[in-house]
Parts: sequence; structure tokens; C-alpha cells
Amino acid sequence: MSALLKVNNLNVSIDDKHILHDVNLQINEGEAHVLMGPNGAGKSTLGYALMGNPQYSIDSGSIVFSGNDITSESADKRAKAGMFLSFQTPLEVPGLTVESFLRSALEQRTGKRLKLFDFKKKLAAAMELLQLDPSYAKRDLNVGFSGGEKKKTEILQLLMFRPKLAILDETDSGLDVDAVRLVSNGIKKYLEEENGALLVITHSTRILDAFDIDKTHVMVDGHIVADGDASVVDDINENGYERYIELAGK
Amino acid sequence: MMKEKSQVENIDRNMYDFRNEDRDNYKLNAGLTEEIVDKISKEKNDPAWMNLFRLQSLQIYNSMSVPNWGPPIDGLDMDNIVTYVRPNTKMSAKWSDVPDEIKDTFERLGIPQAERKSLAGVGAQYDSELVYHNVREEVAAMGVVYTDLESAMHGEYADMIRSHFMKLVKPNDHKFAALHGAVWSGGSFVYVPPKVKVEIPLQSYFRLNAPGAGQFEHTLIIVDEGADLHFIEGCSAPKYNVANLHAGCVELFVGKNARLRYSTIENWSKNMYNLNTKRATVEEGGTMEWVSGSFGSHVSYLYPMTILKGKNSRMEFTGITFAGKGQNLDTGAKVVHIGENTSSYINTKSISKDGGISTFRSSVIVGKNAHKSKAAVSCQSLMLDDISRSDTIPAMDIRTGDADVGHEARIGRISDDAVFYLMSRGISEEDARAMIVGGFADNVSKELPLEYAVEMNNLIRLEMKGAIG
Amino acid sequence: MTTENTILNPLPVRTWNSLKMNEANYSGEVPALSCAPEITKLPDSMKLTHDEALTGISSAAGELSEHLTGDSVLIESESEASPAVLNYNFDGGKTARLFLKAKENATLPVSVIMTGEGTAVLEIKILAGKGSKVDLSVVQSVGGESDVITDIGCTCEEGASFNLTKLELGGKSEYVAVSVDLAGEHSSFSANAGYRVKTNQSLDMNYVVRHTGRKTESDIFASGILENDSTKIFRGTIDLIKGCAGAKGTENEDILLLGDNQINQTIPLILCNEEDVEGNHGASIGRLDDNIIFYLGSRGISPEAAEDIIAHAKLDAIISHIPDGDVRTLAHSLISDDSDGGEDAKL
Repeated sequence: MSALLKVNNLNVSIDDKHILHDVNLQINEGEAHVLMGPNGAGKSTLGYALMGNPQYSIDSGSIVFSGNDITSESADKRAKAGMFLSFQTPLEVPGLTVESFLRSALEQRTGKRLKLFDFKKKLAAAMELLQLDPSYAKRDLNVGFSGGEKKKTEILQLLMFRPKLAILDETDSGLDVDAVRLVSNGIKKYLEEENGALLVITHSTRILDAFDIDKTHVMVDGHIVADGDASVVDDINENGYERYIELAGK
Repeated sequence: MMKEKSQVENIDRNMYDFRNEDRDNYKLNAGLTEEIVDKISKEKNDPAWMNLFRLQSLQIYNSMSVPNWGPPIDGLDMDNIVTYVRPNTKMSAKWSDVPDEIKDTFERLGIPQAERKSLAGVGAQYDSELVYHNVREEVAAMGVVYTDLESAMHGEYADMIRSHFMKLVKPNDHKFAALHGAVWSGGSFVYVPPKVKVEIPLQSYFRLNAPGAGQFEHTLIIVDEGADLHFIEGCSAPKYNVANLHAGCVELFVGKNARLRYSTIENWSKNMYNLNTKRATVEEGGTMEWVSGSFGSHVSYLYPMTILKGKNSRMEFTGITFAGKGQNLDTGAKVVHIGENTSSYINTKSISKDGGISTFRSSVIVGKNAHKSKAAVSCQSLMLDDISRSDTIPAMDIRTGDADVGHEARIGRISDDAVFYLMSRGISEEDARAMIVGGFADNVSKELPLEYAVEMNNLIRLEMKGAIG
Repeated sequence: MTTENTILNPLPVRTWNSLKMNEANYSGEVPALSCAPEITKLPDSMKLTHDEALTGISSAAGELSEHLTGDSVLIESESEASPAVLNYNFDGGKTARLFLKAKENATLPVSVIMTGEGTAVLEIKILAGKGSKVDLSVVQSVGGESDVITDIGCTCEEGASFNLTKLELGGKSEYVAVSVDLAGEHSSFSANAGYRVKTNQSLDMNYVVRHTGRKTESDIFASGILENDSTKIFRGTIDLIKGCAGAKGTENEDILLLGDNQINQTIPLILCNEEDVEGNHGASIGRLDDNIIFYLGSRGISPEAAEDIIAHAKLDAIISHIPDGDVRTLAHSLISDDSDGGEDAKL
């Protein structure tokens, strides 16, 4: 299997504050990875840095995606290359409807005009899977959406854009059981249809029941302190982060 | 009713309304002629340049018309305003040397007590002249200069004054700036040397006692690089049946990385035409903060202006205006962003009651080169009855594409629900309303030193008396 | 007729003269030639007569409004009606006058399309009778180098509502004056004004709403895009006049700056001498938020495309208020052609 994402000795800071220290990570095609860690460990920072948020500055290290060094590429180029980040708090964009947003983004990604009929069909199917009311297609993106609806809309985008790598940042937080199930269905569908790779950032484990985990990484204070298989998740479930926090102290 | 105590004094309308007999002062005839201006100049022993400056200002005054916007000032007839009234005393640095009558005035206003407790220095102006000026030894030892402008003009700082005086507010700015240039008298000069931080405030108090007179004090403050100062200004006058005029001028120079806070509680009597001009210029990294409470005057035109010249400079304006019966108070702020990455925040509240008119007027100009600047204006108005008036006239002129400018304005009334809620806890309607109005004004009161905040809240309480009809 | 320094779009209450925002001065032609509309749609329930004027309706255009003469068209509606569509071509410079009268409980939806090349002056005066609903949309797409002046006035009687949708897409110097008297109790006005001001163009707006009736409501929303070297002034006045207890007035402005060197002026007045009222104003001016650029970027949209998408979305939102479907389609094609530099649109 070839490396889809390779992160080499990445150091990231925001407003001159050093957050991520020498992070190394490799995700191969079709693999599902989990990044866990206590609050404030820097997990979301890694997600933003991978996606190219200009507020996060990369001080050293590199990000290689599909064999290309994308360390200094803008977010839209990374997205076009097949990377996707679901935001923990998706932005509201007044005036831009979900439907016209999806269309514009898809046309931008492919550089071609969409066949309207196919697009509408796919959109309707994806919305049904997530049990999003069809009327939401005509509503302004995320404006007035509940927390759950925003998260579902992120997964809707995942299904429509079909990226090679999906980074899901706390996608299950604040969701009730039914919503977690629907969101999980969406993720499963993505994995099945695209043979997509996944990096799930989470501090809870509910959403992890939906798919098989290939690798687990634990982050504490901006360092990846442990890498392992799915058993790490069980260990954290039982024993918490204490052992890992100690590891970080060393 | 519970007595409200403040360090400054028990608040009572009488506190401001008492007046001394206007008897044996030296006073020039009413009206404005070249002769009168010349006399003022001689009386004050002006240097030659100042004498010329006054006469030129008079010419500009005569050539300019009164504003065609703002509250009417028809009641103000310059032929009836006495431009210069000298109290019967020389300026003193010793409180005991101030004549009893004047001393008594300021004591009733609480000036010396406040000085002892919480001020670094005090100036007190009575009619056209400063009668008392004092600055604490330790503050003077740091090189801080706080003196009257007239003597400063002849001393060590003569050149500094000549190069700054009315350079920020030029006489041709508007008719009353020209008037000020011609007949100014009294006021303060403050210089804070580089890196000196004055920990406790300096204060000037202006008292206009003579009826039909004008007060034209000039305040010139230079806060040098990295220095820090809080200056407090208080104004009051007894009420007469003839119009009095206040056309003061404040010029503030905030140096690189310096900070100046300028606080004013204005409580002129309600026959006063307050046509005051205040302006500050701020160098790189400097900060200008205005705190302004306008309670008195019959008519006010007051819009402190800040020029954010240096990059990363910033300003904050916090104001409240309370217009009651017979008052037409046109207040607000102006800001000009010139430097890059400058920021301004204007936050005002206004209250109208008993037929009072309050107008919030502002202008925010963001120049072409003020890239990445931020400006925010928030103004809220409270209408306490349906015979009053409250207008909001905010102008914005943005000339750069990457500025971030926001504006919000709201006009409304006291919510009946809030009054009911408080009344349901056993508070009388009058007190409930006063509490709500006090809360509405807390943007200003929390920016003032405690004793002034208390005075301001008492003023509000006083204005709210009998608000329930 | 040629005018010199005629006062246009005066602010109801003046402020500092140095700001040069109190009024506009217009020097130029006020065409004597009348412009007759091509009537694309007129439902049977509406009655059209020529040269019958409505009088006594206010104007916010200033001195210029006194100079408007020429042929006019009056459309009356007595009942429920589907949209009427009028196409005005101002080729060579013309003045058009349109009067609208909605009788008690009638609806009067009208779309006006302005095209052609030459000085275009359009006066629309409206009387919205008791309980009536007037829906006026004006799509302005007059040729590049023309002066365009629109003077709209409306009086609303008890319970009447007036909805105005304005889309400003053409002209070199454009002046829009809108004056609304909410005279009757419970009457209301809502305006959605969208614009795209391109390089070296200017747009001067003066919206004045007078609330005299009790429980009247107004809501003005102006949303637009300013490109390089463009000029815009928005004057918006909500006048809450004594006696209008329970009235509510809101103005909001949302401006997207694309490029640089714009002159962008805004002066939203709230005048109030009634206690039991609410007046609100909000404005947000700036470039596209960095967070939105990143969010859309993370979905594969480049910053330039993001600006274009948001600019379109802003105008789309305004267009959605146009009552007639065909006019909406036309408006959509106009804003799309705009960015492609496309051809003139026709209905």
C-alpha cells in the first residue's frame, strides 16, 4: 500500500505560540486512523494545519499528499487534490444556499459544468441517507442550522465531494444517539464507495463503532506520544489518558 | 429616601446652582471687536505671535458663518457675551491664597478634597482665569509639567507651545474655533516626558460664575513617547437667565506608544451654549481613550475627534449624554484612520427625557492607506417619554478595501417587563426606572474612577427624579 | 432640459458639510423625451390608463423631482393580480413616469426592467390603498456610460404593504431616491436593494421612510458589491414621528469589497420622537472573512472563486424577492453575464 498522507516532523504555531511538536504521521490509501487525546492537546490544530488554515503557521516539517509536497499550498488546492476536513464548528455563510454551494464547489473541483439532473439525484440520495429534510438544500449554508444539522451537512459534503482523505474533527460531539448513527452511516458509505482514507479526531469513542480502525495515535501537549492499533482505543476507554500524559512528561 | 453620598459632594441641584455675586471683577465689555481682542491680549501679556494669532482668528471668525446643521444657536448673541472676566485674584499654588469666595465655591464642588485623596494635580479655573494650580511633588519630580498656559507661553516651554497651539484645531476649522483663537483665556498645559507613567489622574475644574459670560479655556496636553496619563476635566456653572457660552478647545498629542485617557463630566448649567472642540492626534502604537459624560448645557456641540496617524494606533470613545427639559445636546465622536492597522471603537449611550433632544452624531473616516484597520461604532438611545427626541446621525466613509467596519445603532425605551420584574421584587417604579437607566449608562460609569462614577450615577438619579408622571 | 448643480438625494437632517454626504449635485441632462413602456405582461385585473397622474406622493430626490415632466402611465389594481411586467428602453435619453394605485385589499405586483443606452430618468409614484399589497421590482441594466435617476415615492394607507426589490447593475452614475410614507396604522415597507458597482461607476442612494401611523414597520436591506475604483453612498433614514407608537424600523447594510480604491460611504439616520418604538441599524463592511475563505477553500474553492460565489449569492438573495419568475430568470442571467462580460439581456 502506498502512502496517501505523510507528515514529517511537523511543527506548527499560532500567534507565535508553538502548538505542535515534531509530528509524524503516515496514512495509506483506504486506512482508517484515529487521533485521540485530552482537550487542548492540539488535535484540531493538526486538522487545520493539514488542511492549510492560514492562521496556523508551519514552522518546519512537511506535508506530502498523494506524493506531492503540499506544505505551502492553499486550502482550495489541497481540497482539489482530494483532502477534506469536517469542521468542528462549521461556518455560516448567509446568502449562499447549500445547493448552489455544493454545485459551485463541485464545478470548481472538476472544472466542468455539472449535469444538473445527476447532481440533484445524488444530492437527494445523500440527504435521504442522512435524513436531512430536502428543504435544507434551499437554505443558506449552516445559517440557523442546529448543531446536529451542521454536522450532517458536513457529512453531506463528504458524500458529495468524495475525497481521498477525510479528516473528521469531533464530528460526533454534541450529537444525540440517532444523529451519531446517521453520521456513522454516512461515513460508512463514504468508506465503502470510495475506498477512502479516514483520520478521525475525537476524544470520545462512540463514532468508532461504525468502522474498523487500522491505527490509533495519541496526542498530548502537541506531541504524538503513542501509536498503536485499535486496542489503544480500548485502553483509553478503560484507563483514560493518564499513562499517556506521563509519557508526554518524559 | 436613602441619601447618596459621594466623595466629591452630596449631589443636589443646589450644589451646582449656587452662585457668587458678580461684583468687583475686571470685566471687558460685551461683544467682539478688534479692540476687545487687543485688550484681552494686553491684559494677558501675550507674546507678539499670540497677539497676531488672536487678531487673525478674529478675522476668520468674522468671515465664517454658523453651521447649517446641528441644534439652533439663535439664542446666542455674541454682542451680549462677555468674552473676558478676570476674577479678583492672581493664580496661586496654595489653596489658602485663593480668595474665600472662590475657595468656598470649589470647596462646595469638592475640588480640594478630591485632590488630597485621589489626584496627582489639580487646576481650577474661575471664569476666564486659572485661580489655583498645584501638582504633587513626586509627580513634578518625574518631570511632569502641569501649569497654566499663559505662564507656560513665556517660560521654558514657550517653543513647544508655539509649535502646538491650535495646530490640531485650526482657527478656520469652524466659526467657534476661530472665536476661541481670538479670545481664549485660561486652561492648562500638561507635558509628560518620555516613559513617565502618571499613576493617578490630573484634574482641571472649570467654573463659570459671571452671567452672560463666555469661557474659552485652552487645554494643551503632550504625552511623549511611551508615557501614560489620565486627565480629568469637570465643568459646572450656576444657572442664569441669560445665555452663557463655553467655547473651549482641547488639543491632545499622544506620542509613540503613549497612552492618554481624557475623562470629562460636563454639567454646565442649562443656559449654557457649549460649543467645545476637542481633538487628539495619535502616533504609532499610541492609545487615546475618551470617557465623556454630558449632562448639562442648554445646547451642546461636542464631538471629540481622534486622528490615528501612526500605524497600530488606537482609540476608544465611551460616552453618555442625558438630555432633559430644555436641552438640545448634539454629541458624538469623530475618528480618522490614517495609519495602517489602526483601530477605533465608539460606544455611546444617550437618554432623552422631558422634551430633551439628544443627537448622536459621528463620523468614521478610513483613509486609503489605513489597511487592515478596524472601526466599530455602537450607539444606543433610550427614550423616556414621547415628548422627547433622539436622533442618530452616523457617517462612515471607507476608502480602503481591507478595512473591517461595523456599525450598530438602536433606539428604544425601558422595557415594561424589566420595570415589572424589579417592582415584583419590591422596588418602587421610580427606583426601578432609575436603576435601569443607571445600568444603561454603565458603559461610562465603569470607565470612571470610583468617586466620579458615583457622582455620575447621582446625576442620573437626580435627572430621573419625578420621571414618573 | 439641462441642469447645473441641482440638489439630488438630500439627507433629511444635515451633518458636517466637509463629509460631502449631505446631498448629491447633479449637472446634466434631464431628458424631455418621454419613454413609453413595452408592456410584456398585464393581467386582466389591472387597468392601464395614459396621462393620469397621482399627486401628493413624496419624493426623496430633492430639487430634481420638480423638473420631471412628460407622458405617464397609470396602472390600477382592484383585486388579486398576477405580476405585470414593463420594459423601458431609454435609448437616446428619456424620462419615464409610472403611477401605481392599489385599491382596497388589492395586490399589485409589478416588475420594471430598465434597459437601453442614454440618460434614464424613471419616476414611480405609488398609492397603496387600505389593506393592499404592492410588490415592485426594478431591474436596472442601462448601458455603461449613462446617467440613471430613479425617483420612487409611495404612500401606504392602513394595513397596506409595499415591498420594493431593486437591482442596480448598469449605468455610469446612478441615483436612487426612495421615499415612503407609512401613514396608515399597521402599514409596512420592506426594501431589498442589491447592487454591483463596477470600476469607475458610482451609485448614490437615498432611502427615507417616515413612520406616522401606529404599529408601522419598515425594513431596508441593502446588499452589494463594490469593485475596484467604484463609489457608493447609501443614505438611509428611518423617521419615527410622534404618534407612531409601536412602530419598528430596521436598516441593514452588507457590503462586499472586491479589489481596492473604493469610496464607500454610509449614513444611516434614525430620527425619533416617539417613545414606544424600536429603531435599529447595522452595517458590516469588508472583504470576505478569512474564515469563510478557508472554509470554502477546504471544499476546493479558490479565494477568487469564493468571492465570486459570495457576490453572486448576495445578488441571488435579492433576486429571490422578485415576484415574476421570468424577470427572476432574466435577472439571474444578467448577473451571470456580468461576470462573463456577456451580451445584453432581453426578456
